Amino acid sequence: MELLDKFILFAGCVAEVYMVFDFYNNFFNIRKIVKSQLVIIIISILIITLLFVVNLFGKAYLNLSLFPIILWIYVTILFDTDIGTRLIYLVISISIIVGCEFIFVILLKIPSYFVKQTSFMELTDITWQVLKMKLLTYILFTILKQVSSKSKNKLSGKIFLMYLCVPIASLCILLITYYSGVDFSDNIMIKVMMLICFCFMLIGNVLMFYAFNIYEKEVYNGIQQKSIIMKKDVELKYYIQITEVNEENKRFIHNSSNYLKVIGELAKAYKIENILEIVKELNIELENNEMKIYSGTPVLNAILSAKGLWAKKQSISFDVYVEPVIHLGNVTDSDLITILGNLLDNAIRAAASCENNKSVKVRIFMQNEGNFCVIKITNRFTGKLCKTEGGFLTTKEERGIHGIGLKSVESIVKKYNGYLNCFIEDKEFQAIVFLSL
Amino acid sequence: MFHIAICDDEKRFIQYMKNIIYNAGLKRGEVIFYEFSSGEEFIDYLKETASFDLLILDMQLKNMDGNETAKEFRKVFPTTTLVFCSGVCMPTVRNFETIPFRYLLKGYTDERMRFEMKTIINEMINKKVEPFIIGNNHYNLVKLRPSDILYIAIAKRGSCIHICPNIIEYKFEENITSKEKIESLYNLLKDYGFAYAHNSYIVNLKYIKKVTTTELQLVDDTKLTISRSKAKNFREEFAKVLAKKY
Repeated sequence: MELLDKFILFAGCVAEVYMVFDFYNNFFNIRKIVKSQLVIIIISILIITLLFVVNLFGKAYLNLSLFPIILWIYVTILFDTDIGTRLIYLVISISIIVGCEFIFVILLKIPSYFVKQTSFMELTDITWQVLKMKLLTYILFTILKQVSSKSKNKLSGKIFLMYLCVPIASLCILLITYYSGVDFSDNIMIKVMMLICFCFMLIGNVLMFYAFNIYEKEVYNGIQQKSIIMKKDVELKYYIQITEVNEENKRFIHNSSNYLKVIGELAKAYKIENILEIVKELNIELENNEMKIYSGTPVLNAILSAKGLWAKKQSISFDVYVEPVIHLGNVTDSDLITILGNLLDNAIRAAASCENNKSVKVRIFMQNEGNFCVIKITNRFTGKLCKTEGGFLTTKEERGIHGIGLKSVESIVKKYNGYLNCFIEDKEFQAIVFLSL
Repeated sequence: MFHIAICDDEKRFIQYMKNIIYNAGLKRGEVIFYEFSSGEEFIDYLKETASFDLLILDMQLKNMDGNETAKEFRKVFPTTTLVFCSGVCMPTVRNFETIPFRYLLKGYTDERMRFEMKTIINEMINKKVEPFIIGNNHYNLVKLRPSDILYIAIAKRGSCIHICPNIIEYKFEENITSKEKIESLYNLLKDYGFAYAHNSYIVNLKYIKKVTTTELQLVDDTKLTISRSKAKNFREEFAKVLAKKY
C-alpha cells in the first residue's frame, strides 16, 4: 500500500472516531474518571491506532466484525450510560458509517467478490469518493443530532438550515469535480494538493459547527453570569434591609423598656389616661414597623416582608403562614434567598397580570416528623403555561434570563436532597419545594 | 361520635376551644369532650380510654409539660390527630417526634382560630373514615388502617404488608400478608398517601425519613430503591402528599 493510501486510511479512521465521539458526547455525559481532556485524547488515539491496524490487514470481514467491537470498547470507556442505550446509539452510529460506505460501493460499482477479498481499493484513485463519503456521513450525523429531542447541543432550526448550506455545498463541489471528468492522475503534485485542500474543506465543515457550539455556550455562560450578578445585587439589598430592621428592633426594645418603666411610675400614681396614651403610642409604633415577624429566622422574615410590600404595592393579596416550629437545617441564607426570591418573584409577577383575584399564598412548614421542610407557593395566573419535560416554560418576554430562575432554584434544592415540583390546579400555579433536612 | 380531649390548665381556654369547635361545624350531639387540667391527670385517664379522635394539648403545663404528655399519649394512640396550643412559648424541634398536626397560638384572632379548627376537624373526620385492609398472620385476620402500614411489597401469593414500628398493637414476629395483589391494594390506598417507588412495592409517603434520587429511607431505617421508571411520578406524588398539610 502506498504511503498516500495509508494516510487516507488513517484520516478516515480519525474522522470516524471523531464523529462517533461527537455523536455520543451530544447525548451522554463523559465518565467522571476520564473527565480530563488529555485522557480522552489518549484513549481516542489508541482507538484510532487500533482501527487503523485492523484496516491495514485489508480483510473486509475482519474489518466489519472488529470495527463495532472497537467502537463499543471506546464508548464504554468514555461515556456514562446504561448498556441498552449505549448499544442502540452504537447501532445507529455504525449504520450511518457503514451505510454511507455501502452507498459508495454501489455508486462505484465495486464487484461483490472484490469486497470479500479486500476492504479497500487503491484509495488514491478514489480520494474524492472517500472524502465525499466522510462528508456525507458527517452531514447525516449532524442532521440526526439536530432532529433528536434528547440532543444537548441543538441549533435553532433557521440557523441549522443556514449552516447546513456549507457541508451540502462542499459535497456538491466534490461530486461535480469528480463527474466533470477532470483527471489529475498524471500529476501527482496536483493530486496531493487537491487532496489536502479537500481535507481542509472537510475539517472546516466540522470546525464550523464546533465553533458555533462553543460560541453558543459562551453566550449562555454570559447570560448566566449576568443573572448571578443580578441575584447578588438582590441578596445585598436583603442584607442591608436585615441590618436596618435589626437596628430598628434594637431601638424598639430599648424604647419599650423605657416605656414600661414610665408606665410603672404612672401606675403608681394612678395616672391611667397617661398610661393609655403611652400604650396607644406603642401600638402605632408596632403597626408602623413594616418588617413582619413570620418566623424565628431573620432572613426568612426579611424576604417575606420585602416581597409582601412589593405585592401590596401591586394590590396582590399576600397570605403567608410559617409554622412556628420551622427549622431549615443547613440551608444557607443565600440559598434561602435564591429559592424564595425566585419563586416569589415569579408568583407575584404572574399574579399581577391577573385582572382580579390577585393572590399569592405562601406556606412554609415541616413534614414527616421534621425530616422535610416544605415551601408551598400558590398563585393565580392568566394566559397559557406550557409544560415541558424540564418543567414549565416561562411566559415572560426575556426567556434567556428568566428561565434560569427556576433552574437555579432546582439546582440549589437538589443540593439539599430536595426537589422543586410545579403543578397547575384550578387555574392556580403551585410551586412546591421540599428540602430533606 | 367524636371523642375530643382538651388538656389545659386554663379553664377559660378549654371553654373557648369548645365554642370554637362548635363554631367550626361540629354539632353538640356528635362530640364528647374530655377535659383535663394537667398532663398527669390526662395520662392516668389514658389507661382506661378506648379511643380519642383529637387531642388539643397546651404546651406549657405544670410539672409534666405538653411534650412529655404528648409522648405518653403517642405510645397509646400513635395516629390520633394531635394539636399543640401555646400562649407565648414557641415549640421546639423536639415536638416533631409526636407528629402534631397543627400548632395553635392562643393569641390568634377568633376568625383565624375558627379557620384552623375547621382544617383540624376535617383531618379528624378523614382519619375516622379511613378504609380498613384485611391482612393475614398465620390463621389470624388483622385489620389495618393506611396509617398503620409502612410499605407493601409483592409476595409469592399476593403481597406482604410491613407495619409501622410505632404501632404497638401489631407487633408480630412475622410479616402480615394479603391475598390481594399490589395493584388492587394501591388502588385502595393511593388517596391515603401511598405511591409506587418500584414496580414491586408501594410506600406510605408520610413515613419517609430521607430521600435521594435513587433511594428512600423509612422511619424504621429500611432502605428501598426508587426505580428509574417510577422516579418522576414518585417525586410528584411525594411533593403532593407533603404539601397537603396546608
